[in-house]
This record gives sequence, C-alpha cells and structure tokens, in this order.
Amino acid sequence: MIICKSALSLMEPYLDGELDASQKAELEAHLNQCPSCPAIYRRLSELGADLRTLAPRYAAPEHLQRRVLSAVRKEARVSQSWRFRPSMAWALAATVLLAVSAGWNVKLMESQKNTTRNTTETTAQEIVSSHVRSLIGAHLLDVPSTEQHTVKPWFNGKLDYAPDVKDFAAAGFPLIGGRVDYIDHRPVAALVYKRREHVINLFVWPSNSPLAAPAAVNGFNLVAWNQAGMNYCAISDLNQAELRQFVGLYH
Amino acid sequence: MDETTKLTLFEQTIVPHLNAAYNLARWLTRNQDVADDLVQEAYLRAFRFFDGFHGGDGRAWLLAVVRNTCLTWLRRNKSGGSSVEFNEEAHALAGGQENIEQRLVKNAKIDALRKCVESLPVEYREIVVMRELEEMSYREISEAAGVPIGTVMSRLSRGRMRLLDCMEAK
Repeated sequence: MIICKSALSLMEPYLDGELDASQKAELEAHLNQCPSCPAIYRRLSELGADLRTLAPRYAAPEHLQRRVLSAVRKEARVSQSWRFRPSMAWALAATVLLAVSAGWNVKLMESQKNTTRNTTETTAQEIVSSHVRSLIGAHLLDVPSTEQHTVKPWFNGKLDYAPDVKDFAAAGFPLIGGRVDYIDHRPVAALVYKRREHVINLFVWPSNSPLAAPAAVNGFNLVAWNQAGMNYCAISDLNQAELRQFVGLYH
Repeated sequence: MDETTKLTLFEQTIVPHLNAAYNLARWLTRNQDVADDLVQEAYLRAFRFFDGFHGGDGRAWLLAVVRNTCLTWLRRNKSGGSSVEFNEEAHALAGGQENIEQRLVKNAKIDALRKCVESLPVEYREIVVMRELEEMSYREISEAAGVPIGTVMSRLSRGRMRLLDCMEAK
C-alpha cells in the first residue's frame, strides 16, 4: 500500500495517461481508502477537464494557411534557383545517370524482396495522405450527416460493399459524415468522426489480409484491424489512448 | 532531397499542424497579429531546416521551432505581449439549450481560465498548453520544449498548482 506522498506524485501522471497498469492500480487502491487524497485528486481532475473543454484552442485564421503556403512555396523556388545554376546542371545530370545505373540492379532485387512489406507501407502512407488531404482541403465530407441511417445508404451504388456505419455520439465520438476515397487501387469508404476538435477518419474496405499499419506516422496515430473480412484503419491526431477507446467502441 | 520532394514532404508532414502551431504561438504571445507573423516566420525557418527532420513526430518538431521563434520575440519585446484583448471565441454563446444564467457562469469560468493560463510564467504556460490543449505526451513535450521529461513533469505540476490557486482567487 502506498503512502499519500507517493499518491500525490502519481496523480498527475495518472490523469495524463502516463502510468503503467500496476502504478494505476496502486493509486486507485490508495484513493479508495485514503480520507484526504480524493479531494486533491478531484480538484486536479476538474482543472484538467475545464482546461480541455473550456480554455480556447485558437484555430489558425484561414488567411494564415494561404500566407504560410505561399511563403514556403516561394522559399522553395528561391532555394531551387540557387541550387540549380546552369553550370551545375550537366555535372548533376551525369552524376544522376551514374548513380541510377549503378543502383538499378540492387534496387530491382530489393523491390522484389520487399513487395509485401511495401504494399502495407504504401497503404499506410496512402491512408496518412488521404487523412491529411481531408483536413487541409475542403473535401472532408461527401455526405455531411450525423445520422447513421443517412450515411450508410449513401454508399449504395458507390461501392461494391456496404460498410458498417455506427454512431458513438453518446460516448463523445459523434459521426459527422462520410466520403468515398481511393486507397490501395480501389474506392473505399471513409467514415468521419469527431472527438472535441480532433477529426477521426475511419477507412473501411474488404480484405482478408490484415493491414500491419505502424502505430504512428508523421504525428498521426493509427489503429488498424480486420473484422469479418473487412480491413479497418482509424487515423487521427487524437492521442493513442482515446483513439483505442474509439476502436474499442467499434468492435 | 530535391526541392520538389522536400516541398511535398513538408506539406504532408508539417503544414497539417498549422492549428497547433498557431494555438501555441497565440498562448505564448497573447496577441493575435503577432502570432500570425511569428507562425509564418516559424514555418519559413522550419522549411529551411527541414533537412534536419528525420521523420517521426512532425508536430513536436514544428512546435520546437514555433516555440523558439516566440521566445526570441518575447525576449526582444519584454514589455509587449501582455495586452489582454477581448476574446470573441471565448465569449461566443455556447449551445442553445443553456439558459442565460448558466451561460453567464460558464463564460465567467472561461474568462477566468484564460486569464489564469495567460498569467502563468511562460515556461509553465507552454507546457500546460501542450499537455492540456494539444494533448501531447510527456515525451512529445520534452522533444518540443527541449527539456528532460522530469522537467516537463515538475513544470506541469507547478503550473497546475498556480492555476488552482488562481482559479480559487477568482
């Protein structure tokens, strides 16, 4: 049994989702029998909830995205013209030619060896790209609706399978709509959910080979699973714990 | 990496975290227009140093650049950045079902929270924002703020104690 001093030092990491199972259990046991610690725990927990739900998350104004993109693109052109002076162009072309011919044989062998792994990696990369596109472009939703009975039939005729559409508004993951996206050389269903300000894209397509997606790519968390002949992949900038909670609801 | 590949990769890994960059800059500078300019400057610096990004967490990497840009600005403008503006988002009416009294209480709380967070010393404020608003893990924060995880935890804890005291006094 731990003492109050250790309990105090565990409370914040507990609320921040940074404890392992045994530390969690220790703290929970202590909170159940200690007369004074639960009050402090409640204050900390309320503060966290207040900050997450009430403190403003400032979203970048629309004009800023345009400004940033055009500034960066301009910068890319500037450094490009610096890099490719005409005198360097021939030397560069010759080097590239050499490198390509030397590397070709090796590349060919590697590519055959890695075909399976690459397919999985490419699919995961396509999912990340598709998620990013859905966030920065206007094309997040083809069918904006919080009604699962509107979203499901919408896919009829657009896909050769029927994705299972569920809504988890009650658990804090409301469905906001869906769209058809293109992944792994085929049209797939993308169901779109929200958790506070975070968008979750859930991709669903028929497959018997489960996707071995990495847990995180470029700062986005991914959870993939296979269920009843369908591949599912959820992706979001939401933290891993809540994304897994979402996936748990879907199962 | 040629410039086109670099630009494409940058647009895929770094540009999507614009909101996180802006949120942090806005909380650190407490000024909308300054945050605009600093975010743009930070993105240009990030692009120049992008060869030093070896994959991994694009958001933590970008926020490290945003943070440095903001802290440099804060050092140069010691007196600036403390203006308390009227915050329309925080005062916007939330939900139609709440009655006027509930709404007033809620708005007062939002206002108090904002003021308390803004009054935190900047080294606590940045960590509270990254943890509570960006929901980053200790490891990600440690990466972005360039301090060990132990320091992240102690600053977070001190920041929270100050927030509790501040909220109590409101």
